Amino acid sequence: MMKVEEIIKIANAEVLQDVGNWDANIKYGFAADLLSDTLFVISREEEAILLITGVTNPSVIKTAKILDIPVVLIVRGKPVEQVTIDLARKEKIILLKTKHIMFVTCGLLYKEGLEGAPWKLQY
Amino acid sequence: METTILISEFFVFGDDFEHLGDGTLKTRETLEKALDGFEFFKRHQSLKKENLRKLGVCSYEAESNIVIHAKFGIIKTYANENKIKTIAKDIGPGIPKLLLALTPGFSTASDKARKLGFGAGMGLKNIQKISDFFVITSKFGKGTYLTFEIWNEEINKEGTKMKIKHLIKELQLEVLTKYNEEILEKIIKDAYACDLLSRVLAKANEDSAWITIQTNVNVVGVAVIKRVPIIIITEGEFVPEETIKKAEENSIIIARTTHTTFELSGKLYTLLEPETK
Repeated sequence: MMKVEEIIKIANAEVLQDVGNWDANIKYGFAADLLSDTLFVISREEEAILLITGVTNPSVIKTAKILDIPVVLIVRGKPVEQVTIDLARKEKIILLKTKHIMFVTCGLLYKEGLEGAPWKLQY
Repeated sequence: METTILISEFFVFGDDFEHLGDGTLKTRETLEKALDGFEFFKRHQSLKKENLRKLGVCSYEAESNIVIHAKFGIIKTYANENKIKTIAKDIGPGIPKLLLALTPGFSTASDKARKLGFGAGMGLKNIQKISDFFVITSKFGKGTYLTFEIWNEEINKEGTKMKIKHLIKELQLEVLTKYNEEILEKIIKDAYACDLLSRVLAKANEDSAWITIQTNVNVVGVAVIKRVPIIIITEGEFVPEETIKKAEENSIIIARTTHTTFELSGKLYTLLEPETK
């Protein structure tokens, strides 16, 4: 379990949008650039998930909202479109950005105890 | 008495990635308020959250499918005390090979869609996995008609498990016939796997599921005589229009799976005899 503040510290992230649930206990991490992949990993558990992605368009926020994901972390220091930030504010999803690449971001957070999101996929 | 209400109705335009998800988010918002009015959800708050998420994912997948592949579509969502039901219709290219489209990873999405983070080729499979009931029909060159339902059921399924609707869900069958709510409630007690029609005529029991690779119109005749409510076609065999039509006329469900008769029988066997698991 991790608070948003810890994630910011560990991933050396910058806060793009701060309206949201700062008290969320983040248990799992999930990294993907394909939003449809993200939709496939739906957790029945109530614990919060951190979405790590390189996608910066507003779809990322819509996806997070639909899956009840409270925090999104954009990797590779990509510039994030203003519409995305505005939508995140409206939907109360905390938006973070880090300069690390996805691999390093995942590694850092995993090392500090963030677990992989439960994967219940059956092909 | 249950009252079904229309929760939301929205149009989806092909290639309109900018607004993709807006309809689903709006539906979810409206539904959240509407469900508060249902007694069932006052008792099961956590289920409400879960069902909203399920609906969200399925509706979003349906919406993105239309944006990626079709010219124009409409998505309607209804709800009552027992279930949430969504219908997504589109004018589009249709899906020439439905079974292929239900294979995870198969996608015909454009590069543009992929760049925006869509088109992993899992949408339909995902809806099938998450929803409690899923029917898709598609006419090549004309469009696709998709229905899915999320049931407001308590997790305890004991005693109701082998209703036809549960069987369809548990075995992830692709339903080919238009269904009627009453048949779905029928209980399946056992199954008979056989491709010889004469044998089935002699041996099959009433209220059993029939597993076969035969798809000619005569199977329906046999099913009618033996009062078999559901025919499960294995190995993804092609089913002629004529057979489907006749089955619909006689209120028989034809469902299909990619599994072989052996695999499906095994799976169904373990479902029908839970204690042997």
